[in-house]
Amino acid sequence: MLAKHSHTQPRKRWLALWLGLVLWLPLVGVANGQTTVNVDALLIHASDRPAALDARLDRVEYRLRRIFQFEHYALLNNTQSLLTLPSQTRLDLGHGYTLHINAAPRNGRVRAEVQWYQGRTRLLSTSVAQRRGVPAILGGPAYQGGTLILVLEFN
Amino acid sequence: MNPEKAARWLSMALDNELPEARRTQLERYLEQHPELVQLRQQWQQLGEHCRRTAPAPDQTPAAAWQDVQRALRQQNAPREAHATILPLRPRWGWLAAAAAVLIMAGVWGWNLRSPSLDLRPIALADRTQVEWVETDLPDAMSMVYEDSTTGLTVIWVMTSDNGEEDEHAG
Repeated sequence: MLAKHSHTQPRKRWLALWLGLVLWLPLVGVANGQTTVNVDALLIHASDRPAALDARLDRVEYRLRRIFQFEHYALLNNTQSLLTLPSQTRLDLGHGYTLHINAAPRNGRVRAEVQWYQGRTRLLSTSVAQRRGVPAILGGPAYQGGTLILVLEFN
Repeated sequence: MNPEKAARWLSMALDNELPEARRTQLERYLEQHPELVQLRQQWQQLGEHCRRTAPAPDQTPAAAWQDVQRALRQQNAPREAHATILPLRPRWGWLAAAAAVLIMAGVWGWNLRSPSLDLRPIALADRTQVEWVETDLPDAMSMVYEDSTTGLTVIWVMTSDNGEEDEHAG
């Protein structure tokens, strides 16, 4: 009985410490006025060439199909990064594309200066103020008989 | 006013987003800068082109069926996650509670990532605001528009070599 008690006690203590840390860390950020957001970038190849239905596009494809006249949408890359605002980050979108984001909180939105590069060429540079969970659709560069679309969202 | 600012105001004016006072200021500036008048004409033509080639609101049967499949899959996903709670026994006490919290957090997170299909347009107050757009691509033009069916903001680059693809843009 004593041996069992001595084994379980430290385990419980570690678990309590771990849970405490998990609950406490976000509170520290809030107390310091920091805002943490998850930036989510979907690089999509839109074209009329048949492509398999990709479950990772479930939350955006039905919307894209209402905006654009492309028949098929293929996910080239999904990149995410956790940002403590204000901050800057560089996302590697694969296929030679990168995204530079300089984001800060503003009036309940995330204001972000976004630069989309192909190698060293700046394809698109913009400044947006987005609500969390509301994606912005960037796009236009030609790619393999179709067009690239970048869905950018802060959560 | 510098040309970049004037172009930004011009874009806002075309979207009826420029206050009257600034619009007057812009008109005065345009009188001295014919190249911007030309740019305004190009943007107006581009807008008309986009409106002409706007996608039909009706979906193809195949696309509609994909939406149905997607909706079914998303409805089933949280149920499957909930089902994993059942094998846990109450006698596990705090461990069961902690596991339940983690699973619920997982379901909540999953729902955040995969909301069920919401075909309503995004509320006006929640729509993305665009301050400016630039591109370094040669002979390219940038444009911003708000899709009325979804409420999403589209920031688009039109290049001379992708005219065919741009016909797909709403």
